[in-house]
Amino acid sequence: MRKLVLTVDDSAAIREMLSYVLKSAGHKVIEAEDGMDGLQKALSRQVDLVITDQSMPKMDGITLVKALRALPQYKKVPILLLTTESSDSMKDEGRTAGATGWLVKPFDPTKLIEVVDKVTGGR
Amino acid sequence: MTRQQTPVRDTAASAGSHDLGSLVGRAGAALNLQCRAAHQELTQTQLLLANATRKLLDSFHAASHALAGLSTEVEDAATRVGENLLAASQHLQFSDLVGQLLATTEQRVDRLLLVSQRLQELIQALDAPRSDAQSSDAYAAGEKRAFLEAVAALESCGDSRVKQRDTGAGSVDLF
Repeated sequence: MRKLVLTVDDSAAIREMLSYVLKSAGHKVIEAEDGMDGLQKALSRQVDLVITDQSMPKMDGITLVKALRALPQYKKVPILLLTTESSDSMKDEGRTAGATGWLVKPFDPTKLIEVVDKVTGGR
Repeated sequence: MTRQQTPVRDTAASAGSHDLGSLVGRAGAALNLQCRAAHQELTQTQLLLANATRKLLDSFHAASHALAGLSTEVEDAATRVGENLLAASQHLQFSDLVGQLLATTEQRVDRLLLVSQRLQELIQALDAPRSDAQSSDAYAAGEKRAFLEAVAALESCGDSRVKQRDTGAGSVDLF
């Protein structure tokens, strides 16, 4: 089933790769270049899934997760952190903030689509 | 690699208690440590670049080869092209990893340069002719403080968040 996915990353290359992979799997994509931009786009349009980087200018990923979880319409929407960070302490912080999962870059495109389908209840 | 973090305020307050020899020794140790870290990060960057470039070329050559077969087996070729482009999309993420490594190195080198600049200013202040001993001492103390603040900033440079050494897929944890 086609989903609307919000991708948030300050790296244009990562946003482009995410869009390519998600669109090739039939999903629609909205891009944001930092946490603040992501929050504004999530507020302007309800999305089915958020995939966000952690370290970004203006607002980081974990702060974005907390901000989204504070909104009634995003209490149960899956949010994945996709980041170079791989420490257990950061993962714990993400889990406590309300993230659905933690993916370490580089992402495997096939695995990413499997995870997207799993957390959104697709296919 | 472990780096000590020295609060700037404490460092500045203790400026008057250091002699030039210990200041220069401390700067030398910090410069050495950070130069070695910068060297390691650049080596890691080169490894990432070489690995990703090889895999990108392989993926694109395979895609190109598959495209050449379109006239006889269109569907199979299109499938192979799609698979290779997906593989390329994983390895193209090297640019984000390398960008983060270079940003860390750039910050480290900027702070090295600041220490070097402040050290030169301090030595000039200490070597200046002393016509008015009181104002000369105050000037040198100010230069010492600026120098120690630059050293503290250098010492607080952290390790890069990027630990990857190739573009192999990262881990996936669902909570």
